[in-house]
Amino acid sequence: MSEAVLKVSGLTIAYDREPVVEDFSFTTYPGQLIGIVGPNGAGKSTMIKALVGSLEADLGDVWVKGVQGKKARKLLTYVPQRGSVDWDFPVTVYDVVKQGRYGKLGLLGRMTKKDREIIDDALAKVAMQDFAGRQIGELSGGQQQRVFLARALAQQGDIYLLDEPFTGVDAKTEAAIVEVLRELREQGACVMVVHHDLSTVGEYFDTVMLMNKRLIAMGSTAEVFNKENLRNAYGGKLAIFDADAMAVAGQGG
Amino acid sequence: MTMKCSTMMWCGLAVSLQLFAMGCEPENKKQKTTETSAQAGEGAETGSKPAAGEKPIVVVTTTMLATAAAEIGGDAVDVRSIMKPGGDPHLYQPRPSDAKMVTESALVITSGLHLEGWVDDLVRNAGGERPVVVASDGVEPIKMEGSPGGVDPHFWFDLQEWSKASQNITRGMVDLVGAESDAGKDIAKRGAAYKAKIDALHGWTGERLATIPEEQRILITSHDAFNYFGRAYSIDVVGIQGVSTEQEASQRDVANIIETVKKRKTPAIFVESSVNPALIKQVASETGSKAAGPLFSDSVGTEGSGAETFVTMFVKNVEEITVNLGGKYEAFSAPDAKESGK
Amino acid sequence: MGAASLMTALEVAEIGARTVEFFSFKYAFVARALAASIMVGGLCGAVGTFLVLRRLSLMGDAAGHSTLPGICVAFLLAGSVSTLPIMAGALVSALLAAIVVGVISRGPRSRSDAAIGIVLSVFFGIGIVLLSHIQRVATTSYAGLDAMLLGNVAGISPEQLTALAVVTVVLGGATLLFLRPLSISTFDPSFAASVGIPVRAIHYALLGALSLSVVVSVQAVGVVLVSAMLIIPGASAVYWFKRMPGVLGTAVGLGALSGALGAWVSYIFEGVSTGPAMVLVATTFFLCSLGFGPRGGLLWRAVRRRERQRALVARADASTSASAYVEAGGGL
Repeated sequence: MSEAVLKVSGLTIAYDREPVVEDFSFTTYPGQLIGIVGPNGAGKSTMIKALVGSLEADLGDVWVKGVQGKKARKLLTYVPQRGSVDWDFPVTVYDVVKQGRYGKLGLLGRMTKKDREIIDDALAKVAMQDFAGRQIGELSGGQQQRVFLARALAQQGDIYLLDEPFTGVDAKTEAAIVEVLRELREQGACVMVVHHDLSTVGEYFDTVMLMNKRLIAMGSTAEVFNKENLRNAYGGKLAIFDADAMAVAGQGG
Repeated sequence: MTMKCSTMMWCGLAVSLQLFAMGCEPENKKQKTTETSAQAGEGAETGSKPAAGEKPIVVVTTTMLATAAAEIGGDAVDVRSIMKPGGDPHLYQPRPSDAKMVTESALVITSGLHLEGWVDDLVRNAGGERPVVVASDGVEPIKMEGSPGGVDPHFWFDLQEWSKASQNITRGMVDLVGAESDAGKDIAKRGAAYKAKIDALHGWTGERLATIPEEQRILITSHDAFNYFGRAYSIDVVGIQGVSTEQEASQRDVANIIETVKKRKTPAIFVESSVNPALIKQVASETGSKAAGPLFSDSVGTEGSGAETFVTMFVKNVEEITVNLGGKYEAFSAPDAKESGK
Repeated sequence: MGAASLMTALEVAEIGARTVEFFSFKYAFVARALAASIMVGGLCGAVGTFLVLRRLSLMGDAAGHSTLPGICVAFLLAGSVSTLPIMAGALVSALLAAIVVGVISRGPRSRSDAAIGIVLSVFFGIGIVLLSHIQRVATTSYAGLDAMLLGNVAGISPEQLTALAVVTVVLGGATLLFLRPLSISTFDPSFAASVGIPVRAIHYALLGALSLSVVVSVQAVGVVLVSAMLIIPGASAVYWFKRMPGVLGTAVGLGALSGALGAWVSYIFEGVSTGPAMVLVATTFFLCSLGFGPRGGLLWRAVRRRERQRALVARADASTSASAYVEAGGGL
């Protein structure tokens, strides 16, 4: 098996006294398309934010390709939830994707032809090249999500962390995004996606992380989605999910 | 909405904390200031015994009134002043402790002519009854557009008017203690002595200013406080800021003053003790004129300034003006040497 | 005195003559006042743009008001109203307020708008108490302390102007240098953190820059109006441009222009201090932006709505006439 790209050990994050993410440990490898699922408030977004440095974790270690700390974070590519952004901000689609080049350009770096090509490619991949000059607030939800994805592509990393990219997005966009993610996986990237829709988990992802503050199970959808795991994750809400869970379990990965 | 509610709540809390803190101010400080001014003006007039029981409290607004009232009232009354030296009566914001002072008082003396817009509310809300003496009763006011009430309130710079005011003050305090009483007679005596001193000062001022050469007889200051001075002693008067320090000077106002200074070739312009000197200094640096002063306009001087009473303050002003505008200065000697100011 | 002169309309010729005089810099103080007004306008416009975009506009108000206790304490300690200690006191107090706001609003349950409102009121309240106390116990003249509340650029000294110039150049340079991380962290803080931008440090640096700007601007416009100069240019600029460089440039431009025009008005008319004139000019710019700005201005919105309606009506007409045609027996 290839080298682990992301190794997390004992990650714990607490806001008050109750931990929101507790003793979380896992390892991921290149060429994986991982769905992170769990009930609301399970700490999925929090966990991702801690990995990329948007939040401080209280305990735990994170290795990215063997390195830790700031260097490690630079290797991660993060696509935040759409809701956390100020859509009135004066930026165009092109500007947003250009932000993906900040890691390389820094404070004052001039853009080279290569940079422009990377940005144009990213826009083309998400079919937003015609919108390059539009202000970000003029776009629909699906279009905005695509721009975010383009920004991530422009970073040219190979470890992707996406936080609920399909929320509030039209079906066509969802399909397009899944295509891009699959392509990334083919290219050897490791893609982790916080996902909210249990019914599509089996179809989109080869690996599933089921969590509720703690990691309950990680593996293929068939392995993970059994009654016991789902009960541990969803607790009393299991009744509602019974039918879905059976359907999911039946799909296999 | 949330913000408004919590902000208002905290504003209310802050304001109440503020009121609480100010209300708890000890009374000692005020007593000390009054006694010092009483000693400063007092000659050897300690012959009279104070009336039996407590001394009536007389509350005055400005520091000019405070020193005059203290000198005239002597031991017979307890004079308390709302304003402190160096303050600006145009902009003063009264506090609950001032209201308390008025409530405890038996007599209130105000300057009048709309100088202290804030005192009417204090008196009205103090409850009880007390006579209010307006020191400027009978004064011939100078009209001034844009000033509260349409008049210029700085009447004390015309000593003939201040002389009338001192009579008002005397009469008010005599009525308070009773004209037939020993205290009343002493107050009347001191009042007459004070008036005599003021009248002498008036004559002396006219003499000093007459020694200033004609073209240089122009007094330029921060705000229009000296119009009565100009009227009484034949000297031109210009203020940069208008009659109340509340008005803000525009660049044009400053430019106009600069032109005036250049035209009249004034050797000196004057800062005032209770007004921001920045604009005067600006004009001075622009014209090469000297920024002289400070002149005391809305208040007597602070401790150590040599201008702690009305008389000494007036003398200092005249000295400053005469010397800097090229006149000849000679010291003032009061009619009764015992009572001369420092 | 001043209001009456405004009322009696100055002849146009007179205004023209005074304007020529204004630009000939007949007096040194006018040149200083103009320079100061332009710098205050530009500086506040730049710093304020980030406040507006981060929805921290109220912080501008808080920064202005929170200088008051520092000014009073500095006066009590220094015993005089001289520039350097007063400005130092103002700066310390404004920075302290910024830190307190930061600390309060970092907690999980707090809201930054309430935090700012609280700090504004409490600091200013403390300042008023101190001012009262000074009125009570002043042994030296405190004249001019309340000038900090209102400010008057006509009285600005060369030293104050130098301080203003230094701060303007430094902060202006810093803004340009750090424009990218500033913009990214304002737009998307989570993403910014993930690419290594120190989001928290930037937040505090911005508040520090705000405090510094406020302290040097207070002498021109005073404590109360400085928040207007911080907010109005940035708020106006977003109606004109859809990208950061345009917005920032417009804000700086509008701010500087407001300063210049305010100074000009103060030179033409008696009794109109520069500070309020500046704010009135800036407000006029805002109203124009709100009305006519291409990005969301009222006029454009009305025009677009009309066009939309016309298009819808045209389409409806076309389909009705088509169906009428068909009904009348015409083939398709």
